[in-house]
Amino acid sequence: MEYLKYYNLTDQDINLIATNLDSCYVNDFYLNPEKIKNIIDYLVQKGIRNIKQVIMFRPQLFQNDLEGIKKSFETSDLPNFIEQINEDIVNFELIGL
Amino acid sequence: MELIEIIKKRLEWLYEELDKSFEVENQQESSKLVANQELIENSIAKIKADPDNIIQVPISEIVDLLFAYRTDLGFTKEEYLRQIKAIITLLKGINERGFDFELTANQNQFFNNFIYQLSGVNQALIEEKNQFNQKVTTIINKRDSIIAEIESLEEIQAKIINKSNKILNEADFQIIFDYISNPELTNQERMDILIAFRNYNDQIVSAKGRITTQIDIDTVKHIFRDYGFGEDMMRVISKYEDEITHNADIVNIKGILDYFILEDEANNKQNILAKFPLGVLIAIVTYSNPRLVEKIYNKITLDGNPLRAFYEDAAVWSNEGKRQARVGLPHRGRGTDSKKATLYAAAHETSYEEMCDNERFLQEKGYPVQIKTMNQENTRSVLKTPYYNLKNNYRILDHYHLISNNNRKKFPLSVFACSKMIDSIDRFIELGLFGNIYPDHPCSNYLTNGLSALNSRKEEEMMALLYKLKRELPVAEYYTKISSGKENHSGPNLANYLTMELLGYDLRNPDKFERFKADNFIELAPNYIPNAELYTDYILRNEPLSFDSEILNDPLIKNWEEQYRLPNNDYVYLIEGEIVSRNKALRVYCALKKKFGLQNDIAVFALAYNMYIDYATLNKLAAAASYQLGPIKEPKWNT
Repeated sequence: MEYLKYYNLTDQDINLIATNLDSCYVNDFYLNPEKIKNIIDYLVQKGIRNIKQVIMFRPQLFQNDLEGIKKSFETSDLPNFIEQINEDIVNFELIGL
Repeated sequence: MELIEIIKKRLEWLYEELDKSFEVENQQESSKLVANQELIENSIAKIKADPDNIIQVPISEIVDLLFAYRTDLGFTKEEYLRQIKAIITLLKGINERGFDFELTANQNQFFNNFIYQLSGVNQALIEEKNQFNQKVTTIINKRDSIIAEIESLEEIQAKIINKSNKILNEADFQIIFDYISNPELTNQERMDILIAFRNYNDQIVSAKGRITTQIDIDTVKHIFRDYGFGEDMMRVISKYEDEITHNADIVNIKGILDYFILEDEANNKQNILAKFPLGVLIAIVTYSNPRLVEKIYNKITLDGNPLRAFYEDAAVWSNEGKRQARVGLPHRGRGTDSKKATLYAAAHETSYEEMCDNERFLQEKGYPVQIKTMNQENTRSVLKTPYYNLKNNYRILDHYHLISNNNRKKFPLSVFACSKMIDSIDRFIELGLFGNIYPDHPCSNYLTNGLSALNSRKEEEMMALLYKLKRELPVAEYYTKISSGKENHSGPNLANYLTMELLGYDLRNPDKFERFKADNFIELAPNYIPNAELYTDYILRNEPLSFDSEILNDPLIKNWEEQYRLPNNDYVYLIEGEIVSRNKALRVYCALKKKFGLQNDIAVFALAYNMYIDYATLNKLAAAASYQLGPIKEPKWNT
């Protein structure tokens, strides 16, 4: 999972993910890095600033498909949900994620 | 009969037994029995103290019970009720209006007989109650062994179903042997099972001519080069070399790759192989086999083109089993030494069949979740949840009214994928973030509006820090410190630094976190509650979700309910300023009392379970549980 360092995660963070996370969440991180990178890049592009938090504390988000995540972002009619997510990652709920 | 059929049959029986054991424990029967018995006993006591008190008892209900347990009363129920009501009317007249007459000799006799019969009913109810409790205890004791047997048999089942080239070993034989030692089986059945076991292994050995041994990694690379894979794939193979060489089989690898190539040719070259992420394909060729891959491919193409999510999921292609047990067992996650087993973990996650069960379950509960739209609807995580976990989580959320009360725009379905949910909810309660204990502070009901907080990685560091802050700071200051001060339309936000810098504490470093825990908290075992480990293990294995209402009659619990329960709050005991999850305390106490009897340390354990706790707090809880706490011991690192 070395590629996560590109998103500001340290060796220690990656180790925490590998040892603490339920294996069902972590499989994609190991076996399908392309998908994970695409999702992260999309989140960054949409203005999500706390990427490190999202990776470490909402890893189940990455179980989803980029297509579905895009749909959630693009069909939301809430005005400031991105700020809310940056405020507290629980607010991914606001767009059903 | 084939071995797999024997195992499936046995598993089905075990699943039923397991379900039954939960049903019996949860059913209302027990509380109804208790209520009826108390009603009769209290009524007898009242009437014996003063016959005039018969006016105050709910007579129709009592006569109903009387007729339910006595058939030889010589009256119809209506006639009996009429007679006894006539007596009550007379007694009312005498007592309330001062009429100067008495009951007739017949009426007196009838009245005395009524009391006598009631005593008989009371006795019958007590006996029935005891029998019921005994039944529950027996079932609960049996549950441990049921779960253990399910786990073992599911493992053998997975071996047989998923992988047609692995022989069953000595450990597998022991499991089968334990099963056939069951006295209910006939000798013929025992023999059949042993022969099926032997036949299975014979088939494997004769089909392969040898038993799988380690294979050469260069051969594997060579095969993949032959099938047109480039350097990217070679890097992936090198990365998982150890796991591949120990578990893969050349014939299998070729068989699987060939199958997809043939499918391509038959269906106008879709290049199926290119649809798999490289790592996923390696997991599949290591742990699956051509027969299974073909079967799954046929199944998932029935509705048209397979979803992208299927190609990204090794378990869909490598696992055919379902898991129903492993209730509450400690998670068998990726430990430090299982890092090598990455491919294994991926290949043994939730199977396609189990996803179908999940889909059905969610639809029954009114969530229009479909496997075929999981890519667009972001429902993959909930569909991939182990079925038993999904069912349990639904029950827990329902129990805490978190399903009906959720007022978010959309219910975050991924919450159902949470592991160890009940312990998380208890902690949110004890940290003042759920249960509305301080209604003036918006954060005190944070969880209701931020349900997916349950589903975040289990942040032990943050939980530990919050337990410390909650105890050290005045209430208002605590909430100010942890909240971001901003709210969205449905609730407050927690401060960002709680997941980032943890208020300046560097707790993400494991050594520093250990030191932080030693500085601030104590371990219950062995110094303070010597049985704590035994109790914790039992609770984790059995994961009780709620308690029998009967436990509320326990004198100690009655005392908690009177002294520490907040008015109109089902969630909380407030013990000398310390918030304790009421459901946690009651369900843990109830489960331990049933299993271990009334030990003097189960009450204090039930209050302190799953908390980060310091000596002073444990002392408060011990006092509430009438438990004598030993003197404080120096933390390990200090001695």
